[in-house]
Amino acid sequence: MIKNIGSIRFVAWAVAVVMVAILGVLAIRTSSGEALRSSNVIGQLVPDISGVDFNGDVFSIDEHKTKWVLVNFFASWCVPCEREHPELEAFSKKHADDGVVISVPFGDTEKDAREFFKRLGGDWPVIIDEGAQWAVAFGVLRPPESFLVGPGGAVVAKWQGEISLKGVDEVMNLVGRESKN
Amino acid sequence: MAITNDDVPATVAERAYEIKANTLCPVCDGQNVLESNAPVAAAIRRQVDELVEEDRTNEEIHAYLARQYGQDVNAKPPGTGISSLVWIIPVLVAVLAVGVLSSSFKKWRSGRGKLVTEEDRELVRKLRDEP
Repeated sequence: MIKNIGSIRFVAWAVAVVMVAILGVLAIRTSSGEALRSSNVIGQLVPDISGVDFNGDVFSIDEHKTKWVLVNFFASWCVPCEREHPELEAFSKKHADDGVVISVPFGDTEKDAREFFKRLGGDWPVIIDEGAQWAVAFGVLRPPESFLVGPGGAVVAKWQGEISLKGVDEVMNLVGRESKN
Repeated sequence: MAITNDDVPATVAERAYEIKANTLCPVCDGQNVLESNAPVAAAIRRQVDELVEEDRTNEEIHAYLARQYGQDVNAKPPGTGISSLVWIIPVLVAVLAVGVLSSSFKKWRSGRGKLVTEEDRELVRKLRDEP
């Protein structure tokens, strides 16, 4: 009986060691949640966004290289997108000289996206993402997601969820201060 | 020489299907992008179709999606780096389990059919006679 207890203890210890090893691997492995918050697109040159917008004008992000560009992925069915729309409008007005907003429908039809802008207003470029290449290039998960591109064309910040003018301005000031140092 | 199905290269549609079947939806619980209705799954499906049309290899497409959405998006973890432990640990556990079990079986078998000794009988008598 004493020998059986010894075997049971050995098996129990072996199982415990293996479980601790598995937990250790899981603990040090980067979760997809952490990877998303850091966003691999930050620090990279902005993906090439160009096309004909809802007003029929040709837009190319390259032509706004010297400005701040706020790329906003939205959907007409997305409630936070509707809530943040006035903030985008405020950004567009405040930064008319040194910035531009570009909205990209995500998981939405063109018809519904047009209805959304007709209802809520906003005269900045809205461009359809053919083939979802920009959504994947930015790693967009769910709307609203916004990306701030600094003068020079590098992506400097990402927001998951609704944004505010105040929040975007804070990042712009911070990036502006850091680039002067 | 007989030509089998393995010799015929996959069509564009077959390749795209296989890649999508092995790509997990980043916001869903264990669903691949073929099964999921989430907008991001639809976006990934469209991008995979485009990249396959552009003749990118399966490895290139999987690597690109992993860069954009994290390694977890690949249903088959890579065989290098820390993720390779996903493949190694189950094998180690299985080998360890077989080793422990066979060692235990040997001990149990060697313990079977032992004759009862006089000491054992004396012990049982003492325990019976105790008030």
